[in-house]
Amino acid sequence: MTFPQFVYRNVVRNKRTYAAYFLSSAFSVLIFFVYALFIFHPDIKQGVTKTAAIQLMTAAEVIMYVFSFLFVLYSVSTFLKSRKREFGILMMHGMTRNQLNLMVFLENMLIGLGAIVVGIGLGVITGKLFLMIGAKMIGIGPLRFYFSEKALLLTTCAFIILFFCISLFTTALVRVNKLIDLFQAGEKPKTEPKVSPFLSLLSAVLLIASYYLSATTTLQTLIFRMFPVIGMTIVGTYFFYTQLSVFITKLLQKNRGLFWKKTNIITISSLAYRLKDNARMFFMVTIVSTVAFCAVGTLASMNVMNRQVKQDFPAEISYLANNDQPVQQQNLLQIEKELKERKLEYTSHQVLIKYIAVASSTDRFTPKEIPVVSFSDYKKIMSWAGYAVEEKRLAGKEVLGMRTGSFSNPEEVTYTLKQDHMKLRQSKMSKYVVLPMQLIFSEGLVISDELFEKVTPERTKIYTGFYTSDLKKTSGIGENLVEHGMKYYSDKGPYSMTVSGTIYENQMSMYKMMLFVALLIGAVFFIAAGSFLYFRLYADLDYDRRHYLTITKVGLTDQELNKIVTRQLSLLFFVPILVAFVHSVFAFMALQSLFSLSIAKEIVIVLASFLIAQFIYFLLIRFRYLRNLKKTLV
Amino acid sequence: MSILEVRHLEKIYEGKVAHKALDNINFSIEKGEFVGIMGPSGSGKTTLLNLIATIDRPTAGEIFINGKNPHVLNRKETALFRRHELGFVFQHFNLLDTLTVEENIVLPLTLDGESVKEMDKKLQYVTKKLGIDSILKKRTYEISGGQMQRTAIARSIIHSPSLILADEPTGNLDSKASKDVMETFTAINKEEKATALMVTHDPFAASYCHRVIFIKDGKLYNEIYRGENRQAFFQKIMDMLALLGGESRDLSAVRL
Repeated sequence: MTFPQFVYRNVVRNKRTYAAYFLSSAFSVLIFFVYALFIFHPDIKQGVTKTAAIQLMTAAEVIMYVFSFLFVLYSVSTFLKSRKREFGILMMHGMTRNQLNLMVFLENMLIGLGAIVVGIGLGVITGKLFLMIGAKMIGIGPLRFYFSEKALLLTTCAFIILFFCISLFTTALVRVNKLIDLFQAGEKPKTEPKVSPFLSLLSAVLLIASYYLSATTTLQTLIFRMFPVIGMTIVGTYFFYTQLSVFITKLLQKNRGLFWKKTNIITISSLAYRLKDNARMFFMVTIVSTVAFCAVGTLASMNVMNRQVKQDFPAEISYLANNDQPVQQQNLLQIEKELKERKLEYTSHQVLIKYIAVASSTDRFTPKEIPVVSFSDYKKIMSWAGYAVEEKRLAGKEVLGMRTGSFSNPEEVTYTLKQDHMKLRQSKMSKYVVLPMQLIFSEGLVISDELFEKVTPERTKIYTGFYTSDLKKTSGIGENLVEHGMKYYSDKGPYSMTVSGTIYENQMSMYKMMLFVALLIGAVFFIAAGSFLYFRLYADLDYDRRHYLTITKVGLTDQELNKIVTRQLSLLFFVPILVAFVHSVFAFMALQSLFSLSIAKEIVIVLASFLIAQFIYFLLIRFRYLRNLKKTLV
Repeated sequence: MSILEVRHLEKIYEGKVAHKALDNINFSIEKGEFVGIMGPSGSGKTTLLNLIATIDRPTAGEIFINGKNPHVLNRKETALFRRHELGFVFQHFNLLDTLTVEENIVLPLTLDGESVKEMDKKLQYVTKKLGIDSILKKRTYEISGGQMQRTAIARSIIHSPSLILADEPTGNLDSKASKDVMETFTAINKEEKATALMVTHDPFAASYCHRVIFIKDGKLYNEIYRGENRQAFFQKIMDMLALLGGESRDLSAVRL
């Protein structure tokens, strides 16, 4: 046996320990490679959404790389910690410091290179599948399988550099102070975990405060609260595991009625130790899972944004132009022609909009003029869009703010008109969007019919709405008139226009692309979290064996053993996930402030799928773990 | 010429209450000698062995192994010193689970970068001698405790060290395996002229030694020589332990 053989055997015969880490690294390489395949694919180099797709995937590559770096660094340092005794034996037999460093370096490189080869190999095999799914999601025709050497080169180099740097770093991590400490590592009886009541309290305060802040976030406060709340949650979570949780189990132990009941005595007594021992791992898993849940959840909730298209654009096609513009008739005819060509049933309606001059207002920016519609017209617009009008008929100088987007917030504004210095006070806002923001690009008012007759406009415009039952089918109508389905109002442009179908399709393809990216990254994070758990479990297997051997000698039935093990494993698997769930739920509460529709359904689906995945993983590991344990117990 | 020489050795464990574990220990071991160290629990036996094994540092005093003081060497030299001069046998065997029996045995040679041919030659010689040549391909969890300890002994002698250090080598073995292991020790001591120092609780194991040194409360208490009759020597050790009046389990380990 030569030295390289020795290193090789160290790794290969420990495959059970390294399995999850290896697979997780290989998976990261695979996903990285798949993104690279997209980026370097010759067929997706053109087009607007395609440029966005490439930018998005490049960002994803960077995220993946940074995450892989941290993941590998953390994993390798935990491996090293668990091998203290082995290092002790080797040092006893005269292994020099340099040899130890070389050994650790070579082992890491071996696993790393293996992961690169397996990851890229899987990437080549499954590449076609990913390209198919990805192409479908981005909304382009099926991509042929193109094996890009650049992608291969990028992935290989990136990960070789990654593993090389980390292997160099970690050799510095092996601190060998005194051989005698190394040697006795793991044999010393564990000391009782200590907790500080102050830090426990701090953790509770931090968590409650950040939950409260996120639950009460509004659109305005979101940006200011986001970073402090994230920081508070991270610190709070850390102390939750290292302090508060141990503190709670200690309180449990004081309750003898509970503690001394059947197998509780074993479960709870090891709980405190387990929590403290695994605090850092729990912390990592929680944070990583929270990020995964939030990423996927946020994207899934974007689905709601598409439903919002219907809200934001009450008419499938809306068109607004100055009354005297010659293009108006021409454009409207074209739209009608296109609708007929598609055999779409539609109704079209027109409404007169008056722009009246404004002298001053209590708003920060006083508009020069403001568009107004009469209350009867407002009622008509609402009924065409399928909404019932709940507001009372306006009379005299009563006005209603015109909602132009789901996010508009009602403000109290008083406008003073140039005409007779008439004061109009807007205190309420219409419940639904009347005219889309893109069309009028400013505030608007609904005024009483009498007033509408009285006011003399600076100019008038005609709003034309085309209503159909299926907004998706309007996609692409008037392509020469609007870009991306929206033509904004401007002083120079003769008209403004929106086409819901095109807007919907654009949002959908952007959304699907982001979801595709987020799902893959979420999966990488989730699998990494799983590998932390797996490793922790196998590192403790020897200790647990001795532990359970002692207990079985006292007399423990198989069912009782199963029960204890199941409980402890479920603790390991579900505590961090549940904490991550709670974190995510509060994060989504804050996110909800961005949407006018509820995102609860999407969030429940996302969290439930993660829970199911975790549960399957739990069952698998529990089965293997019990089988492993019983092999020695007999 | 003495292989091991211990002079005025002292070890104090710092802590809330400083504890003097070893106090002015002096003795030496000649080449080819097989020496046992006995004493009640907490008397400082293992501390003494750790100091000689260079895995702990003395507070005062000197240790010379083969004329060299390992505690004045730097880290790398210490590692090389262990590799060339010392062999270890432990109570818990301390074999590496990832390696097979033969791989465990050649480990010190592997670290030294010796050629595979040379390693094989030495391996054959040592394992034949210890009677473990039939289990070379097995993994550590497939063999018995006695076989594990003989594997550990093979590992400790394959590089022909100046001194073999054994810490309770029979502590984890039953009486049959203990007997096998001690006879192995005697054989390699006799045939290879290997020098060995063994810390033990077990008067039966100690009776294989040429000489037994007794320690009490960190000080040398007495030493007795074997002479010709092992049976009589065993009785003398028992008497001495009774006199020392250590903990009762020192006496309960009577096996014949």
